[in-house]
Amino acid sequence: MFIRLWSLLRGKTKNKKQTDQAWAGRIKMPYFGLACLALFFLMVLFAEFLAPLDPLQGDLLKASLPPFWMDGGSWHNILGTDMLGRDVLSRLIYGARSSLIISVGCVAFYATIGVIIGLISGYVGGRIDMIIMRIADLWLSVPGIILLFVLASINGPSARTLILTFGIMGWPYTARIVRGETLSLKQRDFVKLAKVAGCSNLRIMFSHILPNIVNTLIILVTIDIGGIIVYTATMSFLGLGTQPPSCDWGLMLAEGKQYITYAWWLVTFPGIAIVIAVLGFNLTGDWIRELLDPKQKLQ
Amino acid sequence: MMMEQTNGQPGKVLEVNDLRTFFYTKKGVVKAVDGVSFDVDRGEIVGLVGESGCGKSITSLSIMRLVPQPAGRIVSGRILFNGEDLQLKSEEDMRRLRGDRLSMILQDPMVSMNQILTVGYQLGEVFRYHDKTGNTLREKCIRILEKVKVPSPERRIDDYPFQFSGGMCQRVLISMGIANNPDLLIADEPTTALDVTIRAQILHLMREICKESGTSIILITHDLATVAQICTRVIVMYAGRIVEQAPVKAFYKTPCHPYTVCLIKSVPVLGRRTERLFSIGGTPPNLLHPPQGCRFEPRCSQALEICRSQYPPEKEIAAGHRVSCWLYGQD
Amino acid sequence: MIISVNHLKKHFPVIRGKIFSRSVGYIKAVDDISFFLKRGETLGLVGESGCGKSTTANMLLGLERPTSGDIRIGGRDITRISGRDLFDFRRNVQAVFQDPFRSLNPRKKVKQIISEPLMVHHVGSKADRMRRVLELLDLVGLEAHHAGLFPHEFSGGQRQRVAIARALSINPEVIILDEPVSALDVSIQAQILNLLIDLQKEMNLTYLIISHDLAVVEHVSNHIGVMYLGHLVELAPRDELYANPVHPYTRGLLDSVPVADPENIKAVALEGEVPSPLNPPSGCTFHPRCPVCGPKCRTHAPMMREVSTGHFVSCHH
Repeated sequence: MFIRLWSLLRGKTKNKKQTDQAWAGRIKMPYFGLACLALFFLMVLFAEFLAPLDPLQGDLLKASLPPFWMDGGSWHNILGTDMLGRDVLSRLIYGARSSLIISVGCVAFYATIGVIIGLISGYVGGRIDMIIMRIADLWLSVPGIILLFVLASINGPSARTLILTFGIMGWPYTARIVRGETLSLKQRDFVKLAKVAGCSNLRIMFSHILPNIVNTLIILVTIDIGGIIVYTATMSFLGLGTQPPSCDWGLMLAEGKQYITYAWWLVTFPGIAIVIAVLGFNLTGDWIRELLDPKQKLQ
Repeated sequence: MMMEQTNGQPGKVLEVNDLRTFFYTKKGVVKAVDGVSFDVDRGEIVGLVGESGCGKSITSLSIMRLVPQPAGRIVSGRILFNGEDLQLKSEEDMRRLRGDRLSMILQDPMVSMNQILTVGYQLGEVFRYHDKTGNTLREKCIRILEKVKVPSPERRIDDYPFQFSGGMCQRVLISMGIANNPDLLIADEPTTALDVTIRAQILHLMREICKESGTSIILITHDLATVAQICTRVIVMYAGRIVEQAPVKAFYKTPCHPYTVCLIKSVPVLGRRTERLFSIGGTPPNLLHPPQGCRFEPRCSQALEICRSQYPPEKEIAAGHRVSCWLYGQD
Repeated sequence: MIISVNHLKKHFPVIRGKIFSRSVGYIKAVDDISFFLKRGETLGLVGESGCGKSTTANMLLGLERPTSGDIRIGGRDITRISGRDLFDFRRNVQAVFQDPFRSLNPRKKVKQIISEPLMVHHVGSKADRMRRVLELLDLVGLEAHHAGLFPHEFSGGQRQRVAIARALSINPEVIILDEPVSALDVSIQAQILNLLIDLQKEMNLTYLIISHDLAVVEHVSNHIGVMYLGHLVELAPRDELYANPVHPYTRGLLDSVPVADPENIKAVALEGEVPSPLNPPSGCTFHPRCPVCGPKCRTHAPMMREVSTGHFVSCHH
């Protein structure tokens, strides 16, 4: 039964009648994933309109109120309030923005560096490739959290530090994959033809090879964002990322963890929010990967 | 030894009746194979000829029941192998047949083999899965490699596929195909990726195998010259249908269907030069929306009025020589 | 003479070790070949896998540097050419490769593909280039609306036409064609070959066509060179080669070509396989498979000699 549910979530129905009728090799849309993503982006874009209350304004008289369906809760604060009287729902909604900015910032940073390094490494090959890959290996063996500690102690922990750290630490992942694709693409005849036409190496790398890697990149980035959201939330939870009073889901978890036994809503809802966001990105990323998979394209 | 003669039973090895295999895609239904009927006798080498997209490969995949799913499906038709309907068999039964009684080799030998397993291991798999007699596995593999004329088989059995040249790889694949003395071997463009001198050797080998063990072969190719060299009968496909079938000598001496005539004319002949190579104008029809009448009509220089509206029925115009063309069928 | 190749050699070192590499041997991909070609003519290079014809093409295109020997194209010595000179040279020599499915960048529109050489060499304005693209499309038998499409929307034959259009865009003198029709159906092959011949006549192009298919080469070439394991074993005008093949390998090759005539079933002309280029046989590299091998063949590599006008053979017999 779980398997059926899961395949429904994944958008592939196992209903025999449907399969019989729609024999087309159509990739079913991941309705659940897209819904999660839609919800997430709604929160990001329209936080001002959706959030009922000011996320930063706390009414101490209304501290630690439970969600509306419980005793003591009210419709005024649908999901309850935290220990400073701030509305949990509003903080949740604004928190989406923080998560998105940070994770997109991180991914953009390291993906850009990774793509450039990966392209050069794969295309030039030889000694340079070897050196770069060994450096990448070294890089990967250093736990990012150490760097985060160092930077946090120098600059003070903040969202910016997080983005900086991930940007610096994350490039080997992307670089490796981009290098692999570059290696196989550079053997292709159209690269040879480009050389014969007189194209410079730079042009070949960015105008010929890169567009063919874009598919992989899109998938990578989409799925990565999901992972980074969790990672950055963790860092914020540990106090190394966003600092109070901003509304970050990880931060909400940190602040609420000591009240977990009697004010469970302070950690549950941020947790669920993280899950929904990550699911949204992962399922959509998976779907995009299937869409772009050349084997799906029948001739 | 292993060369059991399988010509005990008379009759046909394969009978295909009105086979239709369609592909269901986003854009609609592609009628890749649309009403194909032919037979293969014991000990025959049948050439299945046509250009790319005509449906010859899909026909062979349909026989093996290896049509890519879920998009592809055998919609109707009967396939009788040794008298048994293959459509009625379970997947388990089909698996037992494949590699044993019914076998297939593909075009590019280098990619058909697993590069990280030795040749001996892969060859052994074919025997292991279907093992019947008690001979040791290694012995068997060496014997079969000898049969396909791989030099020093005792040494090469432990080599990896990348240590073989294209021609040798193809021999190994053929050996895997004939290991269990199948009744029918389907060879899909087995020599296209090979050099011309090696091609001659492989064709010769296949002819020998057919003669020695009575294995019937369906040779799928677009090369009419190859077909002339080893086939006993030729079937021409165009746009998912068979347009002509004939014994090989009759085929080349008196081709009937205009498409066949064009194909034979397009084969460049060494030593005989013309100012311009003959080529058939136009392109094959879109199988999503095949035309109502004869599918070759738009490109046919001898098209009649009726060709556009009705598909010509198959007529037997000489012993074993059948054509689907209104030029021969109006009565 | 527009192309002149003299004692060309290309040896690839076989390297062991990653950081401290040393070469343990050489693959003699091309081992001392020489030929000449006049403007407006076509040389067909035939041979089986591993004979070095593609490597030769790569050297003529400036993609590989010869180990020794020299190449002159259009009067210029391009053997050690690099930098700005190499860039200018590219305007003279273009190429069409085998696999039309992979020789066009799937992410670029046809008009970008065809106009790229023009763009790289800064020829004309954008409008000029577009005009030229349309001209070229017409020349190769495609239509104007094809310019905005992507490669995967075309058939194999059409893609090859696009490749030809691209090669012609900067008006080269020489076009190198590496197996231009091998991946196409027979009837499409004929169309493309006819197109190439027409274009050659119209624009006075010089072709070097490489193929393993003797019939293809026969149709378009004026001269034919037969290569085996890096050596040029025979070089002759076309009719002469097919009428009087001298070298045993050439004979074997011609005999191996299947004929579409079931009354004429050929025996296997050449047994054995092409040896590995890492460890070529001594003396004449063909001797292990040669039906007329003599004692001298095992020890001495034969020299190229002229057996009749324009007909060169490298054989002791």
